[in-house]
Parts: sequence; structure tokens; C-alpha cells
Amino acid sequence: MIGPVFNALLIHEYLERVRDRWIILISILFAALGAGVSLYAQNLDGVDSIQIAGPSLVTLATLFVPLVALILGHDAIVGERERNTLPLLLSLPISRTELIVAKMLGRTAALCTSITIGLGGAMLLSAPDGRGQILALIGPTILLGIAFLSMGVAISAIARRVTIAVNIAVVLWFTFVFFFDLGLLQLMVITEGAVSNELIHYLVLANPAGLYRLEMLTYYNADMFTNEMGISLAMPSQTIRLLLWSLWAIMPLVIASWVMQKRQSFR
Amino acid sequence: MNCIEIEDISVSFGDFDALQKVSLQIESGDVLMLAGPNGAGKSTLLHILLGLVLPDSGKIKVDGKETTIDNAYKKNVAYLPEAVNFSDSLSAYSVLKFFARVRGSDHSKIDETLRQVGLAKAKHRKVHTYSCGMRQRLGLGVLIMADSPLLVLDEPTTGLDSEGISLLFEMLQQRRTNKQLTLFATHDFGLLERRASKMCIIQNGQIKAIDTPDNLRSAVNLPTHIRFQATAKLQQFSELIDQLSSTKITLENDQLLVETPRHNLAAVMSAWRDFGTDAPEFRIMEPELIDVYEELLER
Repeated sequence: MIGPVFNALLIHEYLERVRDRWIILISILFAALGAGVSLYAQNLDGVDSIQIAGPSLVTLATLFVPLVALILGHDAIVGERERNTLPLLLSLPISRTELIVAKMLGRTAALCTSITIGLGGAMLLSAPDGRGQILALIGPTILLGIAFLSMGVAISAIARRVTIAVNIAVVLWFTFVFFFDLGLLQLMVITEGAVSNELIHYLVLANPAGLYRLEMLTYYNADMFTNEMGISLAMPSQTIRLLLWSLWAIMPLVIASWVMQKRQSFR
Repeated sequence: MNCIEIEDISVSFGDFDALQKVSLQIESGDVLMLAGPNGAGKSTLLHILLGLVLPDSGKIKVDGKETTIDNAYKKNVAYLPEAVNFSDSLSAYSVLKFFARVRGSDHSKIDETLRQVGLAKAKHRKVHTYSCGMRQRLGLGVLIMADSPLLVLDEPTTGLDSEGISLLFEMLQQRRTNKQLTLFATHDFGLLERRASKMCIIQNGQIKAIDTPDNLRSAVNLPTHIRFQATAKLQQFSELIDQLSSTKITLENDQLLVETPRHNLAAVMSAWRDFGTDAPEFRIMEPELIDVYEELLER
């Protein structure tokens, strides 16, 4: 799979994305807010600062990272198509699947840069003994980003216009980041608890943002909030979690590749 | 890569048959010009050779062997799409560097190529600030650097000024001399006629005619016009010309205009040698390729 076109495209994608003003802006905002959270937590008396900063950073990351990832991914294919650069790219010695993978990897590298800047800001201004715990946030946050980036790339392969891709990305962001949990709460209220805890558990895991929150809040021992609400969400095994993350990373790309294989017009 | 054969290729997009059992052959040194009305199937045919469109049936053979459009095949192909564009964030220099890296071409040729296509002064400007013609010139630069055995161009004259067109002419001529394969689709066939070794006319997804422009002219047998200086022996000359089938002679100011089928050309010139030696100047006007094309489309 790795040939000169693949490598050149991967590097090009990375360099182009890290220079994207929207990505720079959101990364800086994420870093500033993360740093603010760390400073605030550090100045609180009588509490372990990481117990405040950790969950707050998780909430921040759940908002920002899917947004950055969807912005990064939404125009991967459709943007090339709209600029009329896709036929030229596909005429090079690279298959359609390789093109998608190269774009995904290049943009993943840009996403990692953005997340590192964002959480790096928080880490720099946190208490020295809490830095390790913020560092532990980077890996799962990247997994969260990859899941949404992959969705973004799939949108870009399916949509025929960038504006349509943007609309779908915005709908997905609201759905997974806001409405999904609200929907689950509403489901529990409407059914007056008739829905089993197990089903709610599976539904939470079906949302990458939910899986991430569950993982990280458990890590920071902050799952008491959900427990107080009467929702006991057991953490799945590491294998299941890895499987779920892999599914979120790969399935949208498989769909994108399938759509691209079927496509007969790139103008 | 010395020969590409397309055999019985058919493609449909839903109910629309874009190409129906199309067969053609491009041989070493051929510069094949595809012409046809909008939606005739020219670009689809080009896209099949690039792997952008997958045919429903038919074969593509390279040097006699059936082939699939994979990465190994695409290494030998360079393409200039209609109204070519490049990534907005790149300069002309970066574009050529990218394609040089992709093709494994020599980076030291970048500056020379930029000079050749007239973009040396604008080489650090972002491509999105370029005019359509400048982007097309840059596209030609990419092709010059690639120097691929098979070159596919879609409407290559789009946006090009006279200098750009000269550059295109030069490249086509060079490829013909080097015995490389070139295929292009165009509506500017009058302009590019002299650079093409063959012309292929496509209509409704089918090939109407394929031959050298000269042979296509002969095949349709449209009248050739010959303008002579008036001769003192006009009467004798006219009588002789009148005997030829489908021939008209008119006197315009001080000039004679003879309209005759191509196959009578030798007889007309022979009559002129007999009766027009006192006025030796003449000019033969072959039918325009556009007329030949329109005639073939109507058949």
C-alpha cells in the first residue's frame, strides 16, 4: 500500500491541515480553556486539583475534539472534488482506498498535533503531580478524535458538495455530543425506568463520546455523578473497549472506501 | 508501453449509455484527437483509460496483453483534466515538487520546467491566485516533468493564450517524434488538427469515424476550393472545368474560384497547367475540419 504517492499525499495532508486557520483557532481555544481549567483547579483549597481539572478537561475534550475531527475530515474527498483536483489525484498511482487511508493518516497526524497542543496547554499550567494524569488523557482523546475524524472522512466521500458535508458534520456533532445523552435521559424518564440499565449501558457505549466519557470519568473516579443518578455504568473490558474504538475508526473508512469504489463520476 | 487497445468497451450511467461497444487502438507515436458533441462520451473514454470510470464490459490491452487499471499501469500515465486545478495552499514550485516526488522525477528540473511554461516569476505565488490559463500552463509543466509513455488530456487548450498553445503544440510534436502515446479530447480541433496524427469522432457513445484528418476529408468528399488569378484563356479553361462532375467556376473581381470535389483536384490543376500559365498564382483551400466533422456527424 505504501508507495511514493501515498507518502507524498500523507505529508501534504498533514502540512495543509496543521496550517488550516480553523484548526489553529480551535486548538488555541482548547489550549486556553484547558490552561484556564488547570489554573482554576490549582487555586482551589482543600481539594485534589486533578479531581476537578481531570473531569473538566474530559468535558472540554468531548466538546472540542469531535468538532476539530469533523472539521478536519468533512472535506477530505468532497473538497478535492469541488476544487476539481480529485480526478488528477486518482489518475496517480494510488487506489481509491489508499487515497482515503493516506488522507485519514495525514489528518490523524494533524489531529494529534491539535490535541497535544490543547491538552499540553492544560498540562503546562497544572500542578506538577497531576501532569501525569493529564498526560494519560491524550491517548484516549486521540482515539475519540480518530472516531470522529473517520466519520468526517466518510461524510466527505458520501456528500456531493462541501456545504452538504458541513451540514451533516454539524448534525453529527450535535447528535453525538449533546442530543445522544439527552435522548437517553429522556428515554429513561418517558419509560419511567422500564428500560433496563443494561440497554442504557450498551447505548452509551454505542456513542464514541459516551464511551470516552465513561472511560475517562472512571479513570478520574468521577463516575459518582452517574451513580448518584441511579445509572451504574460498568466499564467494559479493555479488549471490548479496543474493539469498539477500532470499529469506530475503521467502519466509517470501510463505508467511505465502498462509496468511492462505486462512484463513477468525480466532477 | 507501445500500444493501447480498447475493445468493445461499454459504460452506462443508470439508463444513459455513455459508451456502446467502443473499440480503438492507439499506437506508438499516435496523437489521437477525440472530437464529438457535448455528452458524446469523450471524457468518459478518457476516464476509462485513467481508471476513473469502470467499464461495464470490454477490455483494455497494453502491448497486446489484457490489463487492469492498477497502480503499475497508472505509473505510465499522465493526465491533464479539463480546467485543471491544484491544492489552494501550494505554490507552483510546491506543485511541481509534489508531482516530482510522486513520479520519482528529478527535482532539479523544476526550475527549468517553470521557465519553460513561463511561470518562473510566479513560482512562489499560491496557485489559487493564478488565472485559469496559468493553472493550465502549470498542468503542462506537470506533464513535461512526468514525461509518461501515455498522456491523456481533456480540453487542453482551455484558458491558454497563444504562448501557452505554442507550448502545447511543441509538447504534442515532441511526443509524436518520441513515439509516445497521446490522446486528447477537444472542441478546438481546427486549432489542434496539425498536431494530431488521427482524429476520432464520437457521437452518442459510438465511434462515427477514426482516421487521419486528411483521410477523413477524402472520405466525406466535401468540395475543395481553388482560387486562381484570372487567365487570358478563361474560356478554354472554363469549358474544360465544366466537363468535370460537381464542379462550379465563378469569377470574382480578378480571380477565379473553382469549387470541386477532392477527387477532381488533379484534373483541375492539369487544366490550369494547359490554360493558366500566364497567371501562375493559385491557392488551394481544403474543406475546414469543422465542416468534415459536421458532415460526419450528420451521416
